[in-house]
Amino acid sequence: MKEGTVIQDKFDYTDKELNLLKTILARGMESVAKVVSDMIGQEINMKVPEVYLMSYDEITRIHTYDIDEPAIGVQVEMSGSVQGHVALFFPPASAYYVIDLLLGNERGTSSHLTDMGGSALSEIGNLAGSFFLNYLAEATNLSALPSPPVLNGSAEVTRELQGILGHSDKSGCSKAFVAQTVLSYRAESIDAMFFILPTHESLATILEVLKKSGRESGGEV
Amino acid sequence: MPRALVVDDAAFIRLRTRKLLEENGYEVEEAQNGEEAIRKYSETSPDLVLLDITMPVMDGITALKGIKQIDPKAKVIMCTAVGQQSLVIEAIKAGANDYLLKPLDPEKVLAAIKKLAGK
Repeated sequence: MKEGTVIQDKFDYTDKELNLLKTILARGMESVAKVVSDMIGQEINMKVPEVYLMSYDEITRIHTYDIDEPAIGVQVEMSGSVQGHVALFFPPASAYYVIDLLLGNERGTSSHLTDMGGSALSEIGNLAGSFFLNYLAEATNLSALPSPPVLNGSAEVTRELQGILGHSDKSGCSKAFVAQTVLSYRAESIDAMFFILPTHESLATILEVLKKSGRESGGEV
Repeated sequence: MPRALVVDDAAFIRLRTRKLLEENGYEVEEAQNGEEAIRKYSETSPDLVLLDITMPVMDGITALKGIKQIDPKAKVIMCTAVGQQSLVIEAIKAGANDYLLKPLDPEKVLAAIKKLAGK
């Protein structure tokens, strides 16, 4: 994509604006590793997240994670200047491993979602969504607040996303930011996917603010 | 024994905070939303409240205002992942004594409590 390219769906942004938005999302994703590390008092490593901006239809083309497989997800709704949803998904094995780490259990103790395990996982989603919004507010001065997290026990990512999109407002959500990464702890892997699903109008607002701040800073966003 | 009210919709966070406070000599009462927090505050008059902001039924800022109406001298520490300046200002204006960002660092929680206890 060339700088200044006019993209379909009436979004007009440059590589710089897109990259800044991707950086904000990556920081939100990185917060997942930091949060789990802080909570268990041990270092959790994380690969640099791969971040994409894609239409909803394109999400199914991501190959490093099978989004037709069941996953355990946490959703947070955004309200304020930026509206839409944030969703964090773990394959079940990864979700149970995270729960075991957070609850101080031995690896393999969790094999289904208990109330306390679900609460621990919800808190991770809550923190990841909140940190993303904190970074976004810092970079754009757009204030948005998260709703309490909602845990989805086990469903295909695609079905969950359809559910989220079906509840979007009239302006709809035509594009999603997707970050995927692998956390690791003591040679064990934890897969995670982080979705930012702003409404069409909110994404346009964010890009407009980034564009304006780029102009005011002499082209440096 | 001093008494603390821990308000958070996440049972996991309430459990961790309860453990930390009990280990440090507090008797702990819990509430899972703002409405329950106001009711328990009026029933038990705790020495300290640790109050989350993003909660169902009633959020923490509204609960803070309700608690301050019951007791203007209530000692309340906001504990939240939302670090946006506008919300911090709103909480302080509503009477919060301190504002801690999640994930909660036990040492920072204890330092904030100690600071409040000295007032």
